[in-house]
Amino acid sequence: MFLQQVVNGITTGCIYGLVALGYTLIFGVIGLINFAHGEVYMFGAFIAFSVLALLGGPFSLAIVAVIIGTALLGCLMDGLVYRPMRMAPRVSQLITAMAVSIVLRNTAMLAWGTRTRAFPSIFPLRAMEFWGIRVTQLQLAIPVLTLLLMIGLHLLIYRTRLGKAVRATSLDLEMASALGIEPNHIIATIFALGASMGGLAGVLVSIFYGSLSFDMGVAVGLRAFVACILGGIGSIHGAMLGGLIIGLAEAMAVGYISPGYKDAIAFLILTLVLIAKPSGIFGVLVEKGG
Amino acid sequence: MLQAVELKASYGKVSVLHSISFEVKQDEVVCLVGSNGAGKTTTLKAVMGLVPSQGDVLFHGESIHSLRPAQIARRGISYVPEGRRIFPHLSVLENLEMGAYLCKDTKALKNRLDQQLALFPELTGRLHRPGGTLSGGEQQMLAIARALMASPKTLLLDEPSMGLAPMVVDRVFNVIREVSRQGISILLVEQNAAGALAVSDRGYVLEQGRVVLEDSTKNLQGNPGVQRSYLGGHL
Repeated sequence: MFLQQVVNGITTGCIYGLVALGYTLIFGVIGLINFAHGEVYMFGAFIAFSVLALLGGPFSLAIVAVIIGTALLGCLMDGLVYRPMRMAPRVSQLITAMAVSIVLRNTAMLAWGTRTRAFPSIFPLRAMEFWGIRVTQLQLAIPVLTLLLMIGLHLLIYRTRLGKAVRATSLDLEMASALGIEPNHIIATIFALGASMGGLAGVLVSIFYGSLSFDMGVAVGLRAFVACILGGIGSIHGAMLGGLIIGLAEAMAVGYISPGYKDAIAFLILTLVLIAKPSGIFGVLVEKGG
Repeated sequence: MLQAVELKASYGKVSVLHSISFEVKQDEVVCLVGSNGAGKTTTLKAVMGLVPSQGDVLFHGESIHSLRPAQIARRGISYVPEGRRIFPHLSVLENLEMGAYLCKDTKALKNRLDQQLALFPELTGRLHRPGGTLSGGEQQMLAIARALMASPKTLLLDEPSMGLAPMVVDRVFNVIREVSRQGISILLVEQNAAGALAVSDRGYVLEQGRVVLEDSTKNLQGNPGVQRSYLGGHL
């Protein structure tokens, strides 16, 4: 039972971590909690669903469509909504992000309906048993894919010219701009990057559970947000670690207490972190801007 | 080559620059001196496009006043801000690379890096340390080196001697002379008026957001008012 819940926890934890990366990248540079990020995750799932349902695949096309579609969605969100609000007070920006979230969720509801849809089964999800633990192939694939994405992101941020510019901008946007770095390009890039990772997470979850719905982003968005706070918001590695911890904690609560407590766990962790160490595991609490 | 025409700037309703006009010619070192709050830093930020302002800024005869900071940097103006503003979590090398962000040619980049390390040998052994771990003096050298990595035509220097030990201050002013010899024109803002005038060709005295005096440094150094207010009266 314990190991089974560890496996389940790692699977969902990876998903939370992937979504959390989007929050933390954006917060790191412009200090905004993009509350609409959970909706991007949902859109990712629906883009894949639409490609598979309407065109009948192939799956690779669906994945490309998700990456491009959600990256565009991220850029549009930034360009049309957040950029004009850049100089506005922090609270106004947060409220704007919530509004974007509502608009996107309702758009999805109108486009794809309120029903929970079944995700086309493309892979035969065979379960394997090791020492009494049931593991599906996807449960193995999700951590591997997550790890690959994390390594890719790490290399991008720490090794490339663009990544260094992202870090410079997040440390001192004004100084970076005086060196010739266009902050709006950097911000658009991280919106695209964060959104496509969130979108991919949405697809993985839909395949895993075999279903998707217009409001699937709400719960995951919340957990990923808590994962960021736990890991130290602004920290890439913190977001991933925070996601894993929350995934595992939830799995344990479901296994050992009651499935009913699943939703309470994220809130409990959030409360504890805010009381004990508001800066999170890797975080240095910084007051960004006004 | 760099010319400010009746620059005005304000923070909210408080007017900081009333009408500032000055000029930096080719190969010149020009300093703006004045007391705290005279508007020196704001003037540099306005030139760099970092604070909104009215009036005009011309560079090589073209207006750069409505451009974004990154575009102004692209034209060949580099900026060393007050307080150095090194990227603390980026290594010294990465800080330098960011200075040359606009240069995509790796060979040219390497050349510039070698050039800067020749000018600032103290950075050589520190390339892989986080910028934030350097001493104040080293950070100032890094900030100047970072700006020079862009291979600028004009360098804006904001209070480069602030908060540094006297020996390091001398080093900073020597570096300014050296940079000037490389054919880079310099606009220098300093509270250390004596040091600034010693390395400059011309100077402007700012008081409360206005230029109150403009002259060659020789004449400024001999001016009784300037001596009394900015040079401690004992020069």
